[in-house]
Amino acid sequence: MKTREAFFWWCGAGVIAAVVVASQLWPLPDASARVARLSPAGVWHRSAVVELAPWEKDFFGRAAVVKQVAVVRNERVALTVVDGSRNRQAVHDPAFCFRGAGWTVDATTDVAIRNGSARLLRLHKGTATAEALFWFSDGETAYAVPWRYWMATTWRRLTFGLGGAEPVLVELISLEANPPQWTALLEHWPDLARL
Amino acid sequence: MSPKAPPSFRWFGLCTLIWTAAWCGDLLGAWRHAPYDQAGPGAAALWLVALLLLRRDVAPRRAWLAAAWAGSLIGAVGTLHVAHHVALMCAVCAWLPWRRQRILAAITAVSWMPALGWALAVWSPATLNGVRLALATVMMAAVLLRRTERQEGWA
Repeated sequence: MKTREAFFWWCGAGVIAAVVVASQLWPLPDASARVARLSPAGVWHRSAVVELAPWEKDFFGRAAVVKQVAVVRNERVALTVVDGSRNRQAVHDPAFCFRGAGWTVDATTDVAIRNGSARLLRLHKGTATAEALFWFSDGETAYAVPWRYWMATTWRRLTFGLGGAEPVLVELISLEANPPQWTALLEHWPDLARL
Repeated sequence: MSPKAPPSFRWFGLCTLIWTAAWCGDLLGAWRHAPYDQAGPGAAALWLVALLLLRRDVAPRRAWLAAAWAGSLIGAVGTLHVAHHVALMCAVCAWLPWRRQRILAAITAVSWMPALGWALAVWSPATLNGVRLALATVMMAAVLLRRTERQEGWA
């Protein structure tokens, strides 16, 4: 090992550090235009915005979050859309989050939706039961595989935005004792398919 | 056994360790809040017993340092925590003098990584935390065994 070789290692590390700093300063396009397509009311649905709790604001940080309670036909659901363009760490695997919050995932089913697939979770916590449907969407394709989201967002950042649009997390949670017919609900709420 | 290295390269290895550790601040939050990761600090403490194998006259391994910087680049630019954790693992393993210990340390490093909690979340938190401590204990036992052998002149 020569001192000159060590010098080259130091130079390599310096280049990496410079790229890291540049990446922090490089603004990537976010998904706000797609999220803005969510209308508060449609033919079959109407929704009300829910303010984030202080702990949620803290948790999501710079991520853009839309939280609504919506009535689609006669079924009430909670909608959360998270755009992690400014804080990717705010987007977690929903199944893992539910487990961490004390819910038990009784069943996991993949559900076909208009532009891809979503994942349906059947949950219980004590005597409470619920269903949650989630997917990631880049505006063209929907999928429910968290590692695919991580790979897509990582690649996008490594290519300084050239690796495609930022996927958003879309999550619906049933609020009634009887869970909705999810496929029919999504057909009556077309805004969601365009996210 | 690693070749001798000039002090500047050992300093480079040390800086790599500090750089990669500095990017792993998220571990503290995960260990504190996530039920699947609560044995993480204990597992990390057991795993870091490997540092007892460090020798001041031995150079850090180039391949592991390169992997540490590659992981750090992916983690920082791609905002991927697990890449930072792998980078830290590589930066520590780079200093271990024996190949078998490096491989064992690399495998058992998952014991303190939140990624293990995500991958095995179908298990209960208690089971998973037990697995974390068991994995880290394997690492610690191997290190202590190696040290004992070396001190007794078996190695």
